[in-house]
Amino acid sequence: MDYIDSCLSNPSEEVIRKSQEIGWEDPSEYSTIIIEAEDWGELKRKIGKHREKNTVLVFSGGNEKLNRKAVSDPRMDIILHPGKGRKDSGFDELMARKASKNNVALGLDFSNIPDRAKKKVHILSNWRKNLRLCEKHDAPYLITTNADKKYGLRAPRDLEAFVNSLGYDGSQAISQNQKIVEKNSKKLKGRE
Amino acid sequence: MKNLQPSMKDSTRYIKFKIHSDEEIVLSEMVEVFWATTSSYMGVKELSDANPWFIGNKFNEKRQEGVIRVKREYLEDLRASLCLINQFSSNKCFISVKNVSGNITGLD
Repeated sequence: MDYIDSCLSNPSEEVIRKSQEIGWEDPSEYSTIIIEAEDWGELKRKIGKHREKNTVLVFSGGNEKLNRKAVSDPRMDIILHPGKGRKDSGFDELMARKASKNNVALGLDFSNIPDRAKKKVHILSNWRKNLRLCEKHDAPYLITTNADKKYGLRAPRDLEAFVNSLGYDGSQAISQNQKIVEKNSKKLKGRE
Repeated sequence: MKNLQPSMKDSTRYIKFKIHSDEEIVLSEMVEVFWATTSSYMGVKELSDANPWFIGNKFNEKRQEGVIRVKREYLEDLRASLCLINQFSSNKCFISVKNVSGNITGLD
């Protein structure tokens, strides 16, 4: 299996070299864009603008309303850290159902895990809640390093073990990256 | 002391890991960070069952590689806690697992 980290956007030379050393595929073979938006109008405009040019479209979550809008749009590929900056997990039953219907994957962002034990417990607890909802509604989920520096990287098999240790399917969390990139690469080639 | 019967012995796995860091990390520093991270992630109770052990003479300071022995059932948990190591004193770093084997000679 090819290991692909689909959420690496504009990685530096150093990150590309190190990621290949630990077992990832070359991230320069596909393009990822991480979208941030303040309101639905801006999000819709950015999706329309970037969908045609990029292999992977990621929404950087945190706002409950926009999280819901993002999973309702089948053009979106991944919703990353829906609970960022929030006390709750930012992902509910309704969103899980919509994510399953529109094939939008829930992204577990490894770079979002803090050093402080108390915060780490809250983040991992939210991950478990979200993964339980995804399993229940058959929504796709994936894990990514989302690294901007080389020390943020982790080996693919280690990330798989991390999801396994939480009690969920790590192999699905890793292989989902490849599925998204393959599906969208075919679509982009078809358009050319 | 009489040896345990083979059927009573724990099945173990040997994990070969590599430290990725700009500075050279010494074994004592690695051991300290390892115990702090694993006990914080797995807890003392689980760790007592997992019984992880550093194979000291297998630590290569030049190549920054080492070997840990752990009970088979806790292999994934231990890999996950190695994932969480991101700093040695003031040096940023990360650890990747290179190989896992049931036999220490199988790692080479």
